[in-house]
Parts: sequence; C-alpha cells; structure tokens
Amino acid sequence: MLKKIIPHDSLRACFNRRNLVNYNMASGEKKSLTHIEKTLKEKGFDVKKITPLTSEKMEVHANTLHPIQNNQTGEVNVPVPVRLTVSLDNKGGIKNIEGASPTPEAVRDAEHFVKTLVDNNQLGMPGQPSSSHQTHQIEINKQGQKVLTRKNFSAF
Amino acid sequence: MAKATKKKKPTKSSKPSKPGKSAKPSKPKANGTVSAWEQDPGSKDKPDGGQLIQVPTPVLGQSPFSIAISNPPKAPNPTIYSPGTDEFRYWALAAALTRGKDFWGKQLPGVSWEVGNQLPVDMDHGEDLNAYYDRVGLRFFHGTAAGRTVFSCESPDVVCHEQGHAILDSIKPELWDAASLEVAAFHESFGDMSAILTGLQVQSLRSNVLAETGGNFFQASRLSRLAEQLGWAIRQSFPTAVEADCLRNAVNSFFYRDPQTLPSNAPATSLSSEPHSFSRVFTGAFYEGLAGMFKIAGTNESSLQQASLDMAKILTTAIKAADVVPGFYSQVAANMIDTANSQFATNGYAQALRSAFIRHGILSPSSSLAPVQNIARAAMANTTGTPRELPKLSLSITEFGLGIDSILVHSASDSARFNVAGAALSKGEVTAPGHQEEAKAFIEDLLRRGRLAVPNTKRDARSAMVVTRASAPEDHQTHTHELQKQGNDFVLKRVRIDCGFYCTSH
Repeated sequence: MLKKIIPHDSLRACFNRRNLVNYNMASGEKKSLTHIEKTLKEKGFDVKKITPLTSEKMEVHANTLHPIQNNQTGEVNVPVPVRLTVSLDNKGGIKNIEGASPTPEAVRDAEHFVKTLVDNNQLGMPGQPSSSHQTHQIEINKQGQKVLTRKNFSAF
Repeated sequence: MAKATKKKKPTKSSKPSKPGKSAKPSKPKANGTVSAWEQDPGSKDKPDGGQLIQVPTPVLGQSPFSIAISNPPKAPNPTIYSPGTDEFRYWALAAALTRGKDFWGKQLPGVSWEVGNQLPVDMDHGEDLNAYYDRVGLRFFHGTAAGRTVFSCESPDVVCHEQGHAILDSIKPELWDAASLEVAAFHESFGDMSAILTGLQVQSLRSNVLAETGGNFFQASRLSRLAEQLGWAIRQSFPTAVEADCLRNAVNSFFYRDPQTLPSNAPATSLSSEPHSFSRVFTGAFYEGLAGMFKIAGTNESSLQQASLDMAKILTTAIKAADVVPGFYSQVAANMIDTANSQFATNGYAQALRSAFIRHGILSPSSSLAPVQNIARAAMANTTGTPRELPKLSLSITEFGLGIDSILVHSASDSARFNVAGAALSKGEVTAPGHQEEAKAFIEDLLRRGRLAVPNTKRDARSAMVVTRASAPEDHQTHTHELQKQGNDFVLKRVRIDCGFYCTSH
C-alpha cells in the first residue's frame, strides 16, 4: 500500500535525489521511492526532488532532455527543468504524469542558454579537447543523441 | 582569528615565479601559524599590494566539508613563508579553503559534498588564467601576463568562489545541469557571494573595509572588488573583458533585464546573458541588501560579521526553497524576503533586502510584497517643451504597500507626436505602456531608486515598506519626490532635482 511508501508524518517532506535512500525510512519505502525515480528515469526524467503532496500524489522536480535547434550545433538535447505531478496507483506504481513537457518559457530560456554558450566559446563539440573556459560539452549518449553536458563552473 | 600583518613591500611576490619553484621559508617560525592573503594578492588595478595576514595552521581533513589538496601530494612544513614561493601558495590556498569550509560547515550542518566525502583540490592544474569546479574537485591554474606569473590558488576570492560552486552544488545539485541563463548566472553569483561572506569572517578584513568606506558599507572596497590580481592578469590581454580594477565588483548598479533580451556577450561595463556578466545583477543586490542589514545590526565590525552570518542563513534557506524556473533570481529573492520575515522578524532585515532587490530590478515593488507579478518597465519621461501643469490622474498604488490606496499624479497623457517605441534587444520593439501603466512605472522607478518619501499614515506598519538606499547620506535628504497631502488626496510632487554623483546608487 502507498502508506508504506510515504511515511505518514513526512507528507510535507522533500526528498532530494541525493538523500532518497539515506532518509530514515523503512527499507520498503526507500525501495518504492527509488523505484519511482527509476521508472521516471526510464521515461526520460532525471529526478532532482520529490515532494509528497497527498497519499496518492507527489510533486517531482526533474530535468528532461529537450531538443534545441542552434545554427552552430544543429539539434542538441538539453536538460530543461520540469515540475511533474505524479499520481500513484494503489500498488505504489505510477498511474499518471502531468507537466511532462517543459514550459515554452523554459524552452526559450534553454535556446538562449545554448546560444550564449556558443557565442562565448564555452561549448565544446564531441570528440574535441575542451579548455577550462568551456563549461559545457556536447556528448553523444547511448541513443546516439547529442546531449548538452556541463563540465565545470569556472571563475571567468 | 586571523591577524593582519604589516603590509610588506612586495619582494618575491612581485617577481615572476615559475611553477614548481620551491623556496626555503624566509623566516621560519614554528608557532603554528602560516601566512596568507587577507582577501587577494592584488589591490585595485594592481597585481600586488594585497594585505598579508597570519592564521592558525589550516586543518582541511576534518568533517564537515572535508578537503584534501591532492596536488601537491605533500604539505610543506607549516610555517611563515614569503609570497612567491610554492610553500606560501600551498598554505595560502589551505587557509582560504579552511575559511570557507569552517564558515559553510557551521551554516549547513549535515550537508556533504556532492562529489563525496572529501573534496580534492589541485593547486596548479596547468596553464590558464582561470579556476574551476568540475564535480571532481577544485582546480586552479597559473598564467602569465605582462611578464608576471599569476596563480589563481593564491587568491581567497578565487578559492572561495570556486568552493562556493561546490557548496551550492551540495545544497542544490539540481542547478548543475539546468539549461537556464538565470540558474547558471546565479551559480556564478553564489561563488562571489561565498567569497564575500567568507571574507567577512576575517576580523582584519571587516575592520579594513569599514575604515576604507568610512562605515558606509555599500561603497566599492577591497571586499566588493573580487579577484583584483586575476582581473589584472586578464586585463593585460583583454582590457574590456573584466572591470577596470578587479574581475567583478559587487558594488554595482546593474539593473535586472530579462537575460533572453540581452546580447550573448558584452564589455564588462555592460550586461550580457553570459553567466559571469549577468551574475553581477544578483551579486549587486545581495551586497546592497547586506549593507542594509549591517545598518540595522550596528556600526562596528562585529555587527558586520553578525549581518554576514544572518545573510548566509537567509540565503541558503531561500536557495533550498526556490523553484528552479527561468526567473530563478526572483524566486530566490522572494524566498530571502520570506525567510527574513519568518526567521528575523524583529530585525527588519526583510525591508533591507526588499529595497535592494527592488533597486536592482530583481523584484518589482508589488511582487516583493506578494511575488506573483512581473517586473514593470521603464520610467516615464516628460519630453514636452512647453511648461504647463499636466492633467492629474488618479492612480491606485495599493500593490506597492505604502499604506496609501490611491494618489494623484501629473500624468504625461498628451497624444504622442510620433508613434514610436524603443527597440527591444532581441527583435521588434517594446510595447508602449498606457498612461496608467506608465505613471505606475514611474512611481515604481522612484521606489526602486529610493527617491520617494512617503508620509506616515495611519497604517504605519505598511508605510514602512518604502524603499531606502543603503548608501543614502544620513545628514541630508536626497529623495526627489514626495507624496504630499492636498485635501483628502495624496499628490505626487517633485521636491528636488538631485544631480549627486552617487556612482552606484543612482
């Protein structure tokens, strides 16, 4: 049952990705949260934070890869923040996901972000050696997609 | 506690130093202290002249936020070394890292590095005028400019900036790869804020800043000027890429613009959407907010430290609560005001922060009270030539929280001679606002700039929400407009034209 997944006294608690399995929960609950994270990952969401809303719903902050067109890079998939409302079934599985698509504002933000990286020579291309000023690199993932990946935060 | 030492005439430190060069201790003292820079090896537009201090031998390996200098693998004997030597650089780096580690460790109990239990640090990763954090560790470089070799690991500003990235990554890891202009810029701003807040834990620096600014904290100082030496080195090859006397200055008057409307790059004198450039908007508001908090906390250096500790708590609480959305700056700012209200209700910090965020455009006056509205646009301008009294317009200003529901203003409600509007930076033109909107924007602009005096009303608590400038002189008035009572109405009246050269305070 779902009540086993989310402790009764922690409905308002947030579970950051890093402490999903460190939180003082029963092993079954940890497993269930980890299972939800894994299921969302399979659907293309990199989970950052889970906030239980009710016993049947949770808010999930995640990044999802979204294709962006840029004159220099061509199509590149960039991680764009989304806020999902995930409904659970009575077995603790995912029944429904709302908010799976990034908002138009977030997409425009991502487009300008990539353009700014390109214009400032802060974006390294696949297979090319990167300098310390290149904060990002385009990498090819297992699916053969070009993905924007952060390498560092620099002082200048 | 760090003790300031006499400002030494640069000797070896001013000469080019080759990487890997080793030197014997100049005056070995086995007294458990090492020497380091107070804030930066450089001073203003010079690569040297920074203040040397002596600190207890740094201890890096203890939790929380354990750190290990992995390159070089072995620590030199801890004692006093001359600047320009590898040994000095090692302990200068260790001292800066310890400064940040101790500060953030107390502020963030239970938090650990995103990279693991220990943060590895490479003191000299190669040749470059830079430093970075890459989720493996911190890497510093050396580079040559004008015949002089500069090591980024020496500067507490640079070290604590990079360490700040690692700290923020630990408390908000979702910011790491979010493809968002404001998120990336905020990360850079946090690095600079970390350098400022950790610097303020050094007693001599607090005293020196107060002496340098005459107690008016919101003035350019050795604290607000970040990474003077690295800025100098970059300036030798790229004169417009950095500010005239440092890498970035937290005392600035940059006003928020939607970063999507900004050019991708620009000289340091202008804003661009490049994260380091755009970070200055938030850092400027932060610094002005801190100045306002200091005014409330007291006048001496211990009050300044208390304000910095309170600011760190407000900042980190707000960051944790902020949603990661394109308008991330306003989310953090609103959460900071909320935190100040809830955790420091009796201090009045919220008003200082609100003023700072409004003055830098990160929050609109109305959204700073209830952060639901977008930021309004530019101020109204009267360019007509014939002197005459303009028609009065009744304007609702409830949302500004001044304790007055409506006022009368002289509105520029003539028909426009030319149907034109300013150009938007991306494409097209900005939409010309209507008269009501334009007048409201003017009021809002006065509020942002701290130039509107509001009379006390029966609702004094709300009229206290008027915006004040942290740098406003206390011995004379500089507001340009007042709300004056005329019969049953309040009318907006100009009282002076102030041409004072408040370089960073409008």
